[in-house]
Amino acid sequence: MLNEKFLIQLFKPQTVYNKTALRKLFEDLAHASIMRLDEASMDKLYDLMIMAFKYQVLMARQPLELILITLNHVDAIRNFVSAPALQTQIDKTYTMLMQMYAHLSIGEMQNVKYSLLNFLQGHRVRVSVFLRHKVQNTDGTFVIPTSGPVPAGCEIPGCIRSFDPDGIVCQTTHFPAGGEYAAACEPGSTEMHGNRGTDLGCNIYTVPATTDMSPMNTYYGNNNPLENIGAVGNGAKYQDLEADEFLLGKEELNLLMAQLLGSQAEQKQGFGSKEIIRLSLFGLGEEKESNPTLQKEELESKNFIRIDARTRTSTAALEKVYDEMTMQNEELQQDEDKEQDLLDLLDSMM
Amino acid sequence: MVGNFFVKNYAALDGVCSKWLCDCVFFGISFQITKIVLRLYHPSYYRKEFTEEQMYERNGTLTLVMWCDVKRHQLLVVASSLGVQIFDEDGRVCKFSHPCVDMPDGGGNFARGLALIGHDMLCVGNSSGTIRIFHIPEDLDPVVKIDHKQVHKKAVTDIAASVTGGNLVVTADDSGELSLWRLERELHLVSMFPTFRYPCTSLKIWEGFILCAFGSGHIRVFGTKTLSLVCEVAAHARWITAADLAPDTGYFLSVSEDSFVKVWQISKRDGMVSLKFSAQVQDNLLVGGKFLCSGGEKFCVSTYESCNVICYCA
Repeated sequence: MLNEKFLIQLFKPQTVYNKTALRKLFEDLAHASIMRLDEASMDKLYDLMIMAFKYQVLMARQPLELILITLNHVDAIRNFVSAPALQTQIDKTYTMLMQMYAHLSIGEMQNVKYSLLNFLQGHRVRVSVFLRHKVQNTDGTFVIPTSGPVPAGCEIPGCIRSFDPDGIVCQTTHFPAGGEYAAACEPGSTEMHGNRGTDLGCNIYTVPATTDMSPMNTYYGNNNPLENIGAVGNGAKYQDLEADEFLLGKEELNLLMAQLLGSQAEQKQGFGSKEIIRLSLFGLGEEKESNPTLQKEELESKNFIRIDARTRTSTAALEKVYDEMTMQNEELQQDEDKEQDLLDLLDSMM
Repeated sequence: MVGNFFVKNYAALDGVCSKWLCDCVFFGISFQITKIVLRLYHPSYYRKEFTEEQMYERNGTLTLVMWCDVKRHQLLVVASSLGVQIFDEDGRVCKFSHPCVDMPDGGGNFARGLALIGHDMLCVGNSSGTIRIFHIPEDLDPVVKIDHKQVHKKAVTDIAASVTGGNLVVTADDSGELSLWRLERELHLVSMFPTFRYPCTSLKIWEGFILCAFGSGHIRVFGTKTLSLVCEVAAHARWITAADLAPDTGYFLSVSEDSFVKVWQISKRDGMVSLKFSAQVQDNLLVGGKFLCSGGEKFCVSTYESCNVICYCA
């Protein structure tokens, strides 16, 4: 997607893409991997993408924030990628972005924002994560907050100043402005790496671990205790839901191993260990075929435990489970008698 | 008192630059992505009735519309990516059209900024920062270009001209520049005001004062005689998208992306500003606002992505 030739075409000054072309491009991107989506799923994914982007464009407090939002997107891509060649492509993308947009005035950037808003007009899909965080209304429109910091270069409304011909303030009056705005924060960084100063464009599925504050539309300034949270990759205080599920899975696997092997597991595995466990469900022969790099030494090492369910082990719990799964023929014949008392039936099973 | 006035479809009054002037004809503009559609709405909005006809449809992007009285005619002037077009009062017949383009090979050209100087001179700005002045004769034919000047380095955002004579013209651009001119045989620069980095999005001249609404949410008043800043208001927390003036009373209307509409009083004596009225249109990005009468007791606002025009009446 960040191939240089593609980017050169993309960065040529042109009108906003038409909707059909964008949808086709999105489908091609989604199907670039082995993933296949049917039409309904594709529609849902596209709607989600459009609404999330619309949210970001609408919530940008001033036009230059669109650049910071795009940089958040680029930062997130950078974190997914480890190959040096791909990292270079991302650096090139950043350079092209800055060449194109960094010198634009606020007014010119506002024209860009208007073009985007015109394109996004009419999309009113309700997105569950937005509804849950109360940033979207049930009719699909987004909540426009009347609190939070004003953009850099702006002032909290409420003040009227009069000036004398020399430019000195000679009188100041106040009026009720409505809303509860705060002073502007430091503008975000547009360097290749840096704190962008806004959450817009970051992963909306991460949840802050320490506070109840919604991750939506959060701005960070010097006085803010959440200062270092923000871009993906700096996840010190964020609780990643995906990682949690993975840890839970590992705990469950550990428990399974302990049950299967009894005391053996406690000694060999180190119960509660957070080491990665590989569960090979197929025979050794197949293992060798599918994974030729697996060394013979590794297979016969102490860390490799073989479990053969065909032979009974001495574990009492497992024996009981095994017996419970087996149904005797005599019991089956008795079941055909429909008048049999339910309690008798239960007794025979015990 | 607030009433809603529903127009045909939301494409009708969407558009982040829908501005329209209502004298006795209520006019709505459709601003779809690739089309300019003009729709005329006739009065009786208070009875929630209107007649509407689709007058004009072309491919392009609308920036601004303006009604103006030229001699005996009420004309509709439209600025867009197609340049400037002048329609008769029914909005049916296009009497004049000019592309207003300085660099034909470069894309993304548009006309923006409309003002009537005196009784018969139309001033049009464009995306290259130039202004064209057209003379409109009695019978609208021929409309002739009389001046063409590069007034700014970036795209013109708005133009205003003094109604009471003096032929003063004020212009603003995307980079935040603000300049005052006098039209004699051609435009002469009187003064350039200090730039505030955020562009001025809407300009009016009234009783010797220049009223400017900025993208930073500020409203600033400059004196045409002192050529200095007279008053500054921290009016909105976001971009002011549209502003209007009621010439009889000195009421000044501002609408903003912060979802607020506010009406201010400008003092004729010293240009001081005070707040008269404020309302929030919840969860709506306001894009247009106009007074419905010259006294300013009635006004309406339009919002992004909504078919509703919300009317307020004192």
